[in-house]
Amino acid sequence: MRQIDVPERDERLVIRRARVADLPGIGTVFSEAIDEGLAFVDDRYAFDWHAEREWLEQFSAANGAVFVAMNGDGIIVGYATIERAGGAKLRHTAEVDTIAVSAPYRRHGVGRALLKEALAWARRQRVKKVCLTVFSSNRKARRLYRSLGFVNDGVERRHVRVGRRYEDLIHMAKWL
Amino acid sequence: MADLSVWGARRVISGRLVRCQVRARKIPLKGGGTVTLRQGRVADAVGLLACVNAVAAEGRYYINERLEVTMAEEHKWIRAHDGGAKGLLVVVISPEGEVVGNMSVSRSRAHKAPFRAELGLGLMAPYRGQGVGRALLEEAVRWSRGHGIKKLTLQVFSSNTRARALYESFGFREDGVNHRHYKVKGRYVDNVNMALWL
Repeated sequence: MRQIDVPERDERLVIRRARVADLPGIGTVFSEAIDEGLAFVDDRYAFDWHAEREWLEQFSAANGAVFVAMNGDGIIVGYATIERAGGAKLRHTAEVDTIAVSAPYRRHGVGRALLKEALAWARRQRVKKVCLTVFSSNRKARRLYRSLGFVNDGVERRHVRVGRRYEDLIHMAKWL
Repeated sequence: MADLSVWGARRVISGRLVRCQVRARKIPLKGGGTVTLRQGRVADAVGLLACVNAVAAEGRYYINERLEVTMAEEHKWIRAHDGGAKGLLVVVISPEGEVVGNMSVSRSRAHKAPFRAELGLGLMAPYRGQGVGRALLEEAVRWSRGHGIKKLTLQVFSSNTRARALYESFGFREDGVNHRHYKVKGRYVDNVNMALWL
């Protein structure tokens, strides 16, 4: 668990592992991100409570973790998920599947703090390569990942279409 | 004849809806003999799994050493690859009637990527390097063109040089390399994403 101060909002946020009780809050942040339309390859994905609960409960310490950022009122304002790959060929890798922060809390270091927790978890699990993907137009996110030591690890050209425009899908990786 | 569907997946012939089918055909092997290519069907499930698991057990070509699926899941997957809008499955049948290879194309289900389909291809060891892969790729491209696919993608280990040479000679180009992404027999290899724009 770690705490981060957001002086501009005069708030202190707690970053910690998610519990089942956090799922509604996580769902709200997720839905906001989906409504913005840019971040995810598949917008139709619906937050299925039963599936999510099962998913969270199935995450043992060894194969995945969900971290949340909670404000002083107990509201979830961001979350990140990291999942370790299975099988002999991929066990040295983990993927940061999602990182989402509610709009009013962006640009305050919440994403950075969540990602740092995920990286610390990966180190404890002796993961060697942490992977993520990001759309080419998402410059703020790419800058954040670079500043934490992620480097480009392959670009799939014109891999998704947002409206009438194609975007590249950028793979980034950080070796631990 | 009117084309009814968005993707051109079905055509109206004499008032009935039919799916684009791959007609069974014999392919001569460079080393002599023939194999048959035809559309995969639910009855192939057991043979198909045996074939996939034989290639997987070699440990050098697929991500997993074994495909963990139930027979019900396999049937569902085959039905979704019936040559309609979702995808296509073609199997390679030996003269003895065994499934010795397979090729699948699956349209991306992601909202932002309906123009993309992913190719999967595998042949049992004695049937490699004999022109079967090329014939399967032709079927993949035919289905993709007929269903509005713009970008046909695949993933291959950097160590699989024979497969990469085949894909390249067919027009696939590297589309992002994920470095040291897999550990194969104790050594890191890259994941090579390849794409063919249609």
